[in-house]
This record gives sequence, C-alpha cells and structure tokens, in this order.
Amino acid sequence: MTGDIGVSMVLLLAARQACPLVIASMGGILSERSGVVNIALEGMMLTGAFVGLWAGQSIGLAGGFGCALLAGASVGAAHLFLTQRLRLNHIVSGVALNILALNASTFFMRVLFNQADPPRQARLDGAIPLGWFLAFALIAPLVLHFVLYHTVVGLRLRACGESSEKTRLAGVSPAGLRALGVIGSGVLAAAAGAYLSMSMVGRFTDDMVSGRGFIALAAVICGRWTPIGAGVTCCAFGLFDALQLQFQGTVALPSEAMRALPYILTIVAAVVFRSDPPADLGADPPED
Amino acid sequence: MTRLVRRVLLSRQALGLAMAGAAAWVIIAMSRLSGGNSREALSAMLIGAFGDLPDAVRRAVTSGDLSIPNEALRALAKATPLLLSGLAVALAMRAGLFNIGAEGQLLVGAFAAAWAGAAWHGLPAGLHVAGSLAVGAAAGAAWAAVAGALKAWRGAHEVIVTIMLNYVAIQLTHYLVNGPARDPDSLAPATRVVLPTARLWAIEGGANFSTGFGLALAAAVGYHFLFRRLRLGFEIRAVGRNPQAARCAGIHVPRTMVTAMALSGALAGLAGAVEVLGVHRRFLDAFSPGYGFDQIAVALLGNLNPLGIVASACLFGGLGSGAVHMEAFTNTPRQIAGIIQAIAILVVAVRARRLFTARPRDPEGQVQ
Repeated sequence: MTGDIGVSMVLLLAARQACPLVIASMGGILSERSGVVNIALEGMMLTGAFVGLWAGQSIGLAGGFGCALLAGASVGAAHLFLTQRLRLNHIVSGVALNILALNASTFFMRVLFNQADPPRQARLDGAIPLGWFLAFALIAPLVLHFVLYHTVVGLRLRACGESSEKTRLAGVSPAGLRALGVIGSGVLAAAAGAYLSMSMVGRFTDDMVSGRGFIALAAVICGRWTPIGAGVTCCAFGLFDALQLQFQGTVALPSEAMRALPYILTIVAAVVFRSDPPADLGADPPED
Repeated sequence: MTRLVRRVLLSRQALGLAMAGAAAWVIIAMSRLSGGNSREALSAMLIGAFGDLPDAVRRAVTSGDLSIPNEALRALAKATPLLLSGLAVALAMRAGLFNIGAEGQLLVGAFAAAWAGAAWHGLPAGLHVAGSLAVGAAAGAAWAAVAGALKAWRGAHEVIVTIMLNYVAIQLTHYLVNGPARDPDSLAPATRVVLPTARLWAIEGGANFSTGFGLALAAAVGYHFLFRRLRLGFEIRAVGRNPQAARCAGIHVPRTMVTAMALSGALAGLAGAVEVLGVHRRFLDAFSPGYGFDQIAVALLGNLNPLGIVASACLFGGLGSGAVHMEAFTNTPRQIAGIIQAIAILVVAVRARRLFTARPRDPEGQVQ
C-alpha cells in the first residue's frame, strides 16, 4: 500500500518537474529545426515567468499568461532580428539575451516588488491549474511531431534548417519560416516559464528558472532534434529529479551524486547517441 | 597620443558602452519617475568604482602621498578573476569552441588549490604558492579537457558538455566541502584555511587586492605571446577559422582542440586558485558569485584581444563594485550593471560582426 503511494508520489513529482522542460524543449526544436541555435531558452523562460506573474497580479491569470506569451514572443523576435537581420553569431546573441533577461528580471523584481512602497509580494492568489500544463506537455510533442513530419509547413521548416539556400530556391521564404520557428520558440519557452511562476510555485524568485532552459536544450540534442525523443529525455530528467527529491538521505549515495547523475547521463547521451544537427544550424541566412 | 585617444573614443567598445550606459540611465530614470535619482545613482557608481579620485590626485600633488583609493583597488580585485576567466573563454573561442564551462573549471581549480594550500606542509613559501596555483590550473585544465576530448573525438557538442560539467562541478565541490574536506571548526561549509606559505601577498584593509592581479596581467601577456609568436597559437586560430583547411595544412585538429580547451580550463582554474589563495584563503561553498556569464561578456567585449580583455575586465570589475556601492547608497538595484553588460555585448558584437559571424559550414558535419 505505502509502496503504491510512494510510486504515485514520485510519478506526480516527476511530471511536475518534467512539464516545463518538455514545453521549453518543444520551443527549442522549433527554433533549431528552422536553423537557429537557441541558447536563449533560459532567458525566454525567465522573461515568461516574470512577466506572467507581474501582469497576472493586476489583470488576472489568463491575461497574465497572455502577456507572458507576448513577452516570450518579443524575446524570440529580438533573437530573430539579431541572428537573421544583423547576422550575429547565434550563441553570442543567446548569451547576451540570457544575461539581459536574468538581470532585467531581477532589477524589475527589486524595483516593482521589494522596493515598492509598501513592498509587494511577488506571489499570486490563485494558480493556473497544473493539469492544463500537464495535458499540454503531454500532447505538445505529439502535435509537434505531426506538424513537423506530416504537414507542408513542417516539411518546409525542416528543409529550412537543412539548407536555407535550397529552400529559397524552391520558392519558399526561409525568413518567414525562421520567424515562425524562433518566435514560436519564444512563446513556448515563455509558457514553460509561466508554468513555473504561475502554476507550480505561485510566486517569482530571482533566477527561478535556474538552468532549466539549458537542460531543455540538452534534451533537444539528446533527443536528436525530434519532438518525441526530446519529450522522453525531459521525462527522464524529471524522473531523476523526483527520485532524488524522494530518496534524499535514504540511500547510501550522497545526495550530490544523485543530483549530478542526470547531468552526467546527459553527457553520456550526448556522446553515445550522437546525431548530426540540422545541416544549416547556426549558419548565416542566404544573401538576398 | 591624441591619435590613441581618438582611436579609443571611436572604438566599437566605446560606442557599445556609451549606448549601454545611456540605456541604463533611461532604465534607472524610468524606474524612478518621481525624481532625478539617476544622476545620484551614477555618481554613487563612479565613487564605488574609483573612490574619491580627485581627492587622491590632490593629495598626490600637494604632499606627494601616492595612494590609490580603496574602492579602485577593490574594483581591480574584482577584475582579477574576470580577467583570467575572460582570457579562458577567449582562448577557447579562438579555437572555435564555446567554453561555457569556465564556471565549473574555476570551482574545480579553486578547490584543488585550497586542498594543496592546506595539505602540503613544510614547503618554502614561493614553492608552495606556485605549486598550489599549478594544481588549481591543472585541475581546471583536466575538467575542460574532458569537454574538448568529447568534442574532438566523439563530436559531442561542447556547449552542452561544458554546461553539464558546470553542474557536476557544483555538486562535486558541494559534496566535498560539506563532507570529507570540511573544516570541522568552521561554522559555514568551508575547507581548512590555507597555510601562510601558500598565500598570495595581499594589501591590508579589506580591498582584497593581491598579487593575483599581476598574475592575471601576466596571463594576458602570455595570451598575446601565444597567438602572436607561437606555432600552437597559429594552429588554434587555424582550427577555429576552418577545421577542414587546417587539417589539409597538416594540423592535427582533434589534438589542437583538446589542447586549446585544456589551456582555457587552466586559465579558469587559475582564476579560482587566485581567488582562494589571494582573497578567501579557503574554499567556501558556492563562493563564485556567478562569474558564469560575466567572463563570456568580458571575452566578447574585449574582442578576444588581450588588451581589450584587460580593459573590459577592469571595466566590469569597476562596474560590479560600483554597482554594489550604488545599491547601498541610492537603492538602485545593482543588476543594472548586468543590463549594461548585455547591451554592450550586443552593440559591440553587431559592429564586429566579421569576427563573430557564424562559423563556416562544415560539409561533413563533424571534425575529424
């Protein structure tokens, strides 16, 4: 009996931990499949988390969630503009956006909440039901799989990631596809961030994403840039996290070893299941 | 002289900083619409970064009393790990590798140096310091070489591997400093204090300024020498520019990648060792205030050029300690310094696009 409760506890915990990773990694796939490296996932999530909570306090949960998605879309648009129009190295742009999002969210956290007169709590009264996000995280990989492999847009998006030059020669605009990929990735990552602040935790704390964006990106790579693969990898991460939380102190291994295990396994996975990224990933857009 | 001044004023870096500073000014002003506090914030930041410089100059002129304000020394002390780890990131970037793991390498190097500094009894002072620094550098190099080797021979993406190794390093040092290596007499988790023979010479008075800064400058000179004079430096640059061409020219590409990554890790490890032997005297759990991305900012703003990296490290050191001062006196959150960094990187990188454009595509998909 207790065993059953333990198992379902761990599974619920795992689902809660895996949920933001799955949603964010779908964003990562959209962007990378269109040919844009997206290390800015972390910053997009943080933006979504902060804006969602801040707006959610004044205009309600649904409005706040919408604002979070818009904010994520604008970070995506910034990444798109920097990498495609200004042709910046994708990783440089992503790193800068991450620094910006981390510092700006903490800055505005101080200004709008901690130093406000009287200080405001960065927390929400209600929360978006967990189930909605879980359901979304469950179907998102399947939907994205269908879109990528069974629709025209998906085919074109993948083609754009393999060779934007040839896509253009086939009469399809790579710019539009990449806009779709990167802005869509911002929206999804922001949704994952909003899950953290508006549903799972119910408040915002400094740097609350704490590396989940990077983990999601790692899951994209381990899952060989496929929605199902990335989703499964994220679930594995969530499971490890849940096991570590559940069995802290009860097993002979030090808890640090348990916590380090998923990271080590990611490295192992990156080495063993190596697969080639989309051929045009990170390359400059074709000259007009 | 005027030409030099002109060049500095017209440089990309100056432009980037001016724009970033202006943006920060606007943000501060906007966040406090009630009053013109952004001017106060700026002056507090300048005092935090340079101290009361006019007063110091006046005293130097009138009484010949040459003393650098404590705040300026503190800024340079802050710049020291940034300079070393910024060089680390830049060195790997020259090889076309993005070393996001300098944070982890720094932690591992710091821990190793703390261990050597506390455990090796009976060594003469100079030898003990040098040995401890070397151990720190070696630990950082080994940590980074793992990522380099996996990239070179297995094609594992170095960005992913170095990020993951960061987390592993955090957990590993956390375990060691809370478990086997913990000083039982210390309240906070920390290793034992390093022996006096292993300490870097430092200025009294809490500015944390030590000979580590000189060491970091020496590393910058070494970096310059490596890429200007040594064959290895040329090979690293060739691999970074175009691995295929480098291989055709007879350069052993995987070996060069691993070497570059190991050198990069050694610099990051050295940064950690200097922090331990010069500032904290012991390894404190999670002592690094997230140099994680700052060092990338330093390398990018410095254009991978040693002089530029020294300048941008000093700048970010000043910005960082100035921002702390500003936060204490005007309540303006210190994160404004990070916002300035990010905007400066973007402006500079856009202007210096040739250096940072996407790598030439690799038709075979992997380096071999």
